[in-house]
Amino acid sequence: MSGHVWRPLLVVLVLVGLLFVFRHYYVPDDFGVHAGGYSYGWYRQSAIQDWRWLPIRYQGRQTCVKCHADEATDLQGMPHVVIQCENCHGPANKHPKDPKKLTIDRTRELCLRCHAKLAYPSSARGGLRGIDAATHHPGEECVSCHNPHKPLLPTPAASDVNVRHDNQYCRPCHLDQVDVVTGMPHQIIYCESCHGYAGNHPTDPAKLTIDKSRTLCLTCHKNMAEHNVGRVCTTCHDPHKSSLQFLRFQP
Amino acid sequence: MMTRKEFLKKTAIVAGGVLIPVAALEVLTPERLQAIQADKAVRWGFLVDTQRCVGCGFCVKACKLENDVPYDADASRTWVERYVLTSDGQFHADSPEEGRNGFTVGAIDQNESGMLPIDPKTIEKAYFVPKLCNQCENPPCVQVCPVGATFRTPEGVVLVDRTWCIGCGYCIMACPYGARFFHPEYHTAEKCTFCYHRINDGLPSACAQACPFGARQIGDLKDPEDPVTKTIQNERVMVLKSEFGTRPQVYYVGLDWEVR
Amino acid sequence: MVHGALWTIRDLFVLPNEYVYWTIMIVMYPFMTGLVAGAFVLSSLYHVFGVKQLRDIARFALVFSFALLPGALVPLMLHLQHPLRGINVMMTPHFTSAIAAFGVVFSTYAAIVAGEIWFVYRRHFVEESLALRGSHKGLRKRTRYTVFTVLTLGAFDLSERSLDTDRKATKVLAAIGIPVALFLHGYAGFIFGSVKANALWMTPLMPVIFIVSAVVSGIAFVMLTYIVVMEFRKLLARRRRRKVAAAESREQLAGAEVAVIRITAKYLIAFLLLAMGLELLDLVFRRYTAVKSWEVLRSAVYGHEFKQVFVMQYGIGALLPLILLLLPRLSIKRAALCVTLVLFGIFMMRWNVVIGGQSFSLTLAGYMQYVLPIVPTSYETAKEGLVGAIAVLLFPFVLFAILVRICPVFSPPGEGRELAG
Repeated sequence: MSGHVWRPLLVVLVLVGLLFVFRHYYVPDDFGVHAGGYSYGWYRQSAIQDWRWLPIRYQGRQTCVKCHADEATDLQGMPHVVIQCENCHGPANKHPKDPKKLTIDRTRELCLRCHAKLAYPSSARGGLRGIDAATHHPGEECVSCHNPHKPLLPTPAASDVNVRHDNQYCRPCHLDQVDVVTGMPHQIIYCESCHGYAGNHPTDPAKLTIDKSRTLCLTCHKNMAEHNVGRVCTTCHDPHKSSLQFLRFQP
Repeated sequence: MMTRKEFLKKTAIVAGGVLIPVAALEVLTPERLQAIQADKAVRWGFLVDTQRCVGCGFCVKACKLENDVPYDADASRTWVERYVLTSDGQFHADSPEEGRNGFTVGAIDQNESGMLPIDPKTIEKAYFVPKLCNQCENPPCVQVCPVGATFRTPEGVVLVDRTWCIGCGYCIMACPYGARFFHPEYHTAEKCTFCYHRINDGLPSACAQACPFGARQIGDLKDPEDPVTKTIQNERVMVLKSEFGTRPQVYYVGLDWEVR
Repeated sequence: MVHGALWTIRDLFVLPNEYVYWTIMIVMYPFMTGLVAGAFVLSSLYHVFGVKQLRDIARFALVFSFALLPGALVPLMLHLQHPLRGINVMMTPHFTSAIAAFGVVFSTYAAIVAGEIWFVYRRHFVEESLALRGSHKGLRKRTRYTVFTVLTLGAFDLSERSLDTDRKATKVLAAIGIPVALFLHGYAGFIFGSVKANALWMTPLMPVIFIVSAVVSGIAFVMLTYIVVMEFRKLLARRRRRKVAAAESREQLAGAEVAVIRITAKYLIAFLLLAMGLELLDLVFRRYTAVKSWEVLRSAVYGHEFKQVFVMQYGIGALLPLILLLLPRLSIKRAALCVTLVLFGIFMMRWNVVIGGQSFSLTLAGYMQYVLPIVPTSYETAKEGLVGAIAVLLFPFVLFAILVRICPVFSPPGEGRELAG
């Protein structure tokens, strides 16, 4: 067989040789078979380190409470104590160095994640209290009434300078009213919102206001402006037992 | 009769020929193999309790922000699915925006087919199923990677080498669980890593930490005192798509027959 | 933007990470390698099995097979998210993956075809080199001289013994090349068939179906190009009023064509029937066994994908050309029509496998629709859209036009016979 028949093969072998030389420089030295065998362990060993030392962004509540003790106290005993601070406020990263401030998200969408009522049997979601977003104060920020750290009582409106005490302050003497309100829609309203600043009551003032004007009720129940105009709301509606089923008398 | 030269030549050939397989044997001794595979005394596993999940989606949000996945991209390392079974025997399922903003409406998001309103009175049962990479013991995604860019660590976590991945997408096609996607910025295969950078520091994964109701827990399957391990050993748990032989290491409590 | 979101429409329950990731480029790749394999097998039918009537078409098929090879690389490069890392497949191949076979098989096949071409054309290289030696007029002539001299690899011996060695070597390489060419395409079938996660793809029949349909497309492609080229040559001859050698009047040229076409058509029919049979077998089995995925597969295949599968692939792409080919007295024109339809059918087969496999969700309760980007709005929609597909189709022809200057397939009548093989 004349020699020339092997020349193409020689060319191929030279090319393959060059390929191996290139490979020597191109492929990282720690690339090979590691734990897991060739099937599952064929990789560059240092890739593990690439993943190992990424920055940790979410620090966890124990980091937050070191400085934000007030909010931590507020949340004690509240349903929202199970929620990580960073879920709503975003990852702490190296706060307070960087970022200096975290987000305070006041949108309805944040609250609706849990509190859009979905009456699902066989899911914990069904047991979560919630609202129909379309009908419950649409367009309003949830936090204008509800304090996310103390969700069982509302945040007093900024202009509501009367409110200094929460309702437990009133309960020892006015047990009946406070207990009756509990479980009713109006439980979220501070006593002082309607009855004024308690001050040193009963020493001073001896009595707090009982404001029966329509204006007070219409502050929230704006859609009732045309309803029984001229009549005082408390004629039919007990403000402590505020559910419709507890009208003083049937019309 | 052999000359001395021939004898020496033949001996050299025989000795050389014997040394090669013996040298190979040295590389593959059982002791050395065990040293390689041994002990990493940890094997990470995950427990999802679908009774507890309320579909708030904080896990999805936490995962994306912790792990550099663009929040508004329609892909995620982890996601939450909702299943609703109505009294007419139909089941409906969705995962709107992979659950990153929670589930805030009762209507089922059917993508191109629009929103399907569900009458709450007809709901027989409904629940949420969070999903993530199962970090399989026999990962088909690792098997099909043509270049060795994805692999299983000694602790059982499947990772991707972002410097080596060529972006062919074979691993994405091979995953039966849909856990993989292309990272919109790095353009390499992306998947849940069990927050490898956190768990090795004693922290839980971002999603497990974020979950307010304890629906997600990560643990060490080799530690008999680990609460995750205890639940898996003692309670009735399921895995997804076991028929594929992948041996997934994410276990579910409360899985229903319709879960995909 | 998540890759795939641009051209995927999702319907009903689809997992968040599911998009059509494998697009037109992945359809093109097996189509192109199928043409490569088929062209090579056709060429080898002459070299190995001595089917004399295929001599003219064999040389053409061989060179075109080589021109198609880089053309098969282009869709992969356009698809990869990191095309420059494509070399990793050859650097650190993970052979548990079918795709890793690409590096080895592709290079082996390229080496074999290149080698075979070398043996077939060595004499031509030597003659050209010797003819151009000493003439230092002009850059073009000097370049041609250099190219041909390098290509001779220093083997200037043109004795009868030497040429005989060339013929033997050609035969050997053609024989070795057949299984390699089949593997070059068969492994593509394995790429799909071994993905257990995909209900449509997973079947042991997939590699077999791919190989058989590759042979079909290769034969059809070579027939089509052969017809087109022969018609073109006849046109040239008529225009220039060139006196052709007595042995080859225009009528005899036409006669030779029809004989070649009719013989090749018989092979085409045989393989086409086999391909159709295998695919129908797969469908029948799925329907009969009706496993969990059957419901969504059925509604995809008989629903969204009905037009692509039954009308385009089985109807226009297989049944119609089959009938037309079987009718007696096959003419050149009818053959040209049929092979075009067959090529279309084979393309649709690749489409229906790749896109069809992604037309339903892993949930088995949702669907995905692939919208081929036609007008490019970005780099991605250009390279993985119609623009890219057309570029892939045209590229082999461009390469062929260049190759033909070095390895002529159409020598003037009367001379060509003396080339080895």
